[in-house]
Amino acid sequence: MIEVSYEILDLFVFPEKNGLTNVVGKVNLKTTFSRNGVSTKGRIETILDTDNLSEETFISVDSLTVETVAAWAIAANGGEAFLAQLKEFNDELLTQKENEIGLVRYEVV
Amino acid sequence: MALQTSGTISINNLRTEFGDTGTSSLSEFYRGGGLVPATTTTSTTTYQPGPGTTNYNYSLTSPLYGWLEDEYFPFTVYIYWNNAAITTFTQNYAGEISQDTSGGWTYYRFSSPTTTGLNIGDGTTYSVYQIRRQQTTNTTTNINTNVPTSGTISLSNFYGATA
Repeated sequence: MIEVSYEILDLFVFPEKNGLTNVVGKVNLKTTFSRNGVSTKGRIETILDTDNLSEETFISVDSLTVETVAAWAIAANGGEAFLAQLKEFNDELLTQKENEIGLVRYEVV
Repeated sequence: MALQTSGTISINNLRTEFGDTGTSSLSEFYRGGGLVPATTTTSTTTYQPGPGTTNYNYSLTSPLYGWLEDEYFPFTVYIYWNNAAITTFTQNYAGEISQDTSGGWTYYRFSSPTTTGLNIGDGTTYSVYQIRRQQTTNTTTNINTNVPTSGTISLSNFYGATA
């Protein structure tokens, strides 16, 4: 199973938009895909939809978590289908890296 | 699987299709009320150059296609697609980043470079990888439009309805 983690490289905000302050408009993330002690990395740079803001759902930039920002970035690029494709690509790379360290799958009978 | 489009529909058919449990009444099956969805989302993926994920583009002459990586610190990556400079970023080490999402497209580099030691006269050398890209778009469509969201509801409203 591939574990995915995120690191925020950059956040860009609108200091004021629709009466709200520091509205996140662009994010830049580093993604790490890990399995069996090896990992691969990617990057996601995304403009977020800030046209439909509401006070009820707004999260202050000071209260944002990495997981929330990552969820926004993934949703903006196609959601679960997007994440599945990233995992599919990185699955091949991780297999290569596992082979490089001599780790091969053992068929249990 | 969608419900039938003619004949008799029972509340048990609704329970099976929409996953209701316990005692059911028709009022639980309003459109958008939790059991009966009002929309469905379809994901479409576009591959370039396609088809699928096995083909890559590569050209060091116009139109430029490639994932250029400075072979020296800070290992800057330059992504070119059809002559457009898509994005630039730095890495912690050579080959650290293997895919990049920018402008709604995800750019994937091949696992090993096609060219190494490329000298373009700027005092450094580059590795150049083949590159492909893909994009996922979601389309949301209204469904179950014959099922009311409130008010009078009958089993005949559910012909062709789907979970």
